[in-house]
Amino acid sequence: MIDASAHPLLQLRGITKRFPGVIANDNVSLDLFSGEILALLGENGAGKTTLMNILYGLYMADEGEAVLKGVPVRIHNPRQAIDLGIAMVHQHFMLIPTLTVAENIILGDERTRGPLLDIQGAEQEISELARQYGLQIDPHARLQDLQSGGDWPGLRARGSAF
Amino acid sequence: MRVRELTGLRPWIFPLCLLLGSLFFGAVAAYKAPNLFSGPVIVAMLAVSVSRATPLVYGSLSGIFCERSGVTQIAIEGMMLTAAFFAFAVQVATHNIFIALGGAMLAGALMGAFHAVLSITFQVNQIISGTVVNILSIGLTGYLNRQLFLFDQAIDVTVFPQLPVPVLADLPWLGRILFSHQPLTYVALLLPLMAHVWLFHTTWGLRTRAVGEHPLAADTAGINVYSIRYLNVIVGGALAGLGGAYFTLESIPTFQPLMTNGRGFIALAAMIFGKWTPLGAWGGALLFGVAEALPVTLQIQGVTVNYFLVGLLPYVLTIIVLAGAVGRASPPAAIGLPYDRR
Ligand SMILES: Nc1ncnc2c1ncn2[C@@H]1O[C@H](COP(=O)(O)OP(=O)(O)OP(=O)(O)O)[C@@H](O)[C@H]1O
Ligand SMILES: [Mg+2]
Repeated sequence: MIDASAHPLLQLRGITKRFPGVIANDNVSLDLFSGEILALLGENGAGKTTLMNILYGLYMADEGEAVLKGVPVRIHNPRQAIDLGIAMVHQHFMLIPTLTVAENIILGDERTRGPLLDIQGAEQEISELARQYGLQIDPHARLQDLQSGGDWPGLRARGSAF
Repeated sequence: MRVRELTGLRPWIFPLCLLLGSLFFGAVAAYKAPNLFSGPVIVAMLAVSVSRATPLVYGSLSGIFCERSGVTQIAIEGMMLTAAFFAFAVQVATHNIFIALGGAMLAGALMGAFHAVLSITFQVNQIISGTVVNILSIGLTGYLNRQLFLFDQAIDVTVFPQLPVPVLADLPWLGRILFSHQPLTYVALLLPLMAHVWLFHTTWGLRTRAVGEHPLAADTAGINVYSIRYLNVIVGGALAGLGGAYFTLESIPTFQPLMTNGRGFIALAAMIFGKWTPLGAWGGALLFGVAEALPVTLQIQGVTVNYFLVGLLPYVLTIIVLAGAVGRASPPAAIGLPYDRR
């Protein structure tokens, strides 16, 4: 349900981002309303990832601004984006091969029991979720020991699951 | 470079050679000094080993703190030397060994901060940054030592006393090996366990591993790569500082130029031997500790071997370890790479 009279949840206004030799985003503006699902289409190298990286705080725009719920925001890093309720599922794996599945999932939003990580708790919860969605995931396995393609895709749900 | 690829030999050949070499060496020594392998002599040697391992434990943990977060740490030596000097200087100034210990940690932490600024903020090549710290420390301590203490030798300073643990010190064998030491050595016996818990079971430890392995992924998970690296390199400096304090607050109550004598690099080898894990590095430090204690023991027992040659043992062992002979070492993936995003 999109209420056109309402304010957009998120506005990007005149975003420009230059890399040496390329203008990746040239004065890009968009409105996103609450409940809306917006697809951004473009050929390879059109600048979709760059725009999302700017929104997520990985890159800083050279010009333009983001307005969230009517308030201009300057997002300097992913932590800020996360705190503003912006999550991103990345085009390329943003997972760490030497860590376990559970460690990868809790990273950045760790639950603790006293001074220590509550890995057991996280592993139980992940197994539970995996069962619900019919996924075969051993939360205790290291990513580098999993077969890519087979067990990995479920992990992309990281942003939405937690 | 992997020894196996270079030579076609299996990796265990090298420890085996080392073992056979020591056995041969031991047999000769046993022939020359029959009481060398009596219980008390071995216990004494192991006790010396534990003490000699102390700066190596602190140094290798310093390496783990830095390198696990992705910052190369070849400046352990320089940080230790600086701290050894300031531990001495502060004790001369204050006559308080605890303030001196604080001074050593602070000196190490400051050198760590310097390394951090160079390699994290200014993105200087981390090997070069570490070398700068090492060279700076030699110049700084040599100069200050000459200026402040050369003509002023009657200085009233001391080392930490031996503090036998009640009851435990009376245990046969173990009492002497583990429970009759000076305080920095006791701490070095506990610290690897604490570092293990820190690295694998705390939020900070998990983030450290993430940042050292794949900083972009850590960043996208909302972790501040720079603050973790700064924190770890500074704490790593303070740990190297404790290792430096061993030389002037536990070993001898005076400073001598270059007195760390390569221990920082041996600590680095211990860390690599332990595959960047605290407990493994601890094992490495103890192994090198034995290698240092052996010549001392031989000398005390009056065995006439070439002391110079036997004294080379820790360094030869270091070369073997660093040549990658003992298993495949797998450093953190992002080590040495500055993190930069636009
Ligand atoms: N870090 C960077 N440094 C320099 N140039 C970059 C950088 N990131 C992206 N670019 C350039 O900016 C342009 C847009 O890239 P971007 O990745 O945003 O495109 P995209 O629309 O996501 O493409 P694809 O469909 O292939 O994912 C490209 O020309 C790319 O080469
Ligand atoms: Mg893209």
